[in-house]
Amino acid sequence: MERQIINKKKRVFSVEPNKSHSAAFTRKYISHLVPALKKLNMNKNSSQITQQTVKHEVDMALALSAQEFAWSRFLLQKLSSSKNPTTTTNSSSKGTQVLERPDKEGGDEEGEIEEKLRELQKLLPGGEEMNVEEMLSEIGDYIKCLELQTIALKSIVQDTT
Amino acid sequence: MSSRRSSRSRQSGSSRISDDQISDLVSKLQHLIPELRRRRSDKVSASKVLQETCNYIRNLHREVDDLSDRLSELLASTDDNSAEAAIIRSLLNY
Repeated sequence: MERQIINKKKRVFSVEPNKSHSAAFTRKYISHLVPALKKLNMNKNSSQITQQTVKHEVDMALALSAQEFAWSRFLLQKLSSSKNPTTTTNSSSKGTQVLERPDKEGGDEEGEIEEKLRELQKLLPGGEEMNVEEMLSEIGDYIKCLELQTIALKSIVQDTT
Repeated sequence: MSSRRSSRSRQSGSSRISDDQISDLVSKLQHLIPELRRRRSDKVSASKVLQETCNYIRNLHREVDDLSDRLSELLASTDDNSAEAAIIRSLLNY
């Protein structure tokens, strides 16, 4: 009976079994996040649980579960260097900008694309420090991991309300 | 006054991005972004795909922020014993 419950809990997420890569990530993500949250919950009385601390753990779990990707290393660096975490949406551009900024010549299709690429770079952790090829290969995986992270978080939150 | 064309015509190290790379990226993204998958048209412009990608990523970020806020609320609530117990129970069951 107990085993059934444990197995049932493991199947909380609807991850397609043939997408083993996604399943592996989700498994890793949960295995990082849940203990971290448990710890936070246990130390609740000594230190305040703020949105920032939870967000920090959320991002940390993401970075730790996807270490095969360059963006996760950048994310990890960012998280470890500041205990006051910034949200993933605010990445500081300290590296050299990979794409040069063309002069605005008005409605230039190429210019538009380059601009959008730059925006994309800013959204990807470490995007501005990667060369273009790296960024292109990493962006797809980043999106997939973000989606899986969202699914995992939803399961946790909905499970307990 | 020299006017600078887009960087593709200048040698600037790793910053040149070729048409091929762009179309590779665009086709990859088209499959990933739900918004674009629905359209299912090959005529979506590169700039549109990139825009939708940026929007999608920002939405995902927002969703994650929102979910982690809710999570922190759940964890912080000490008054509501049932919620707290439920969290602890579900976390411990892993």
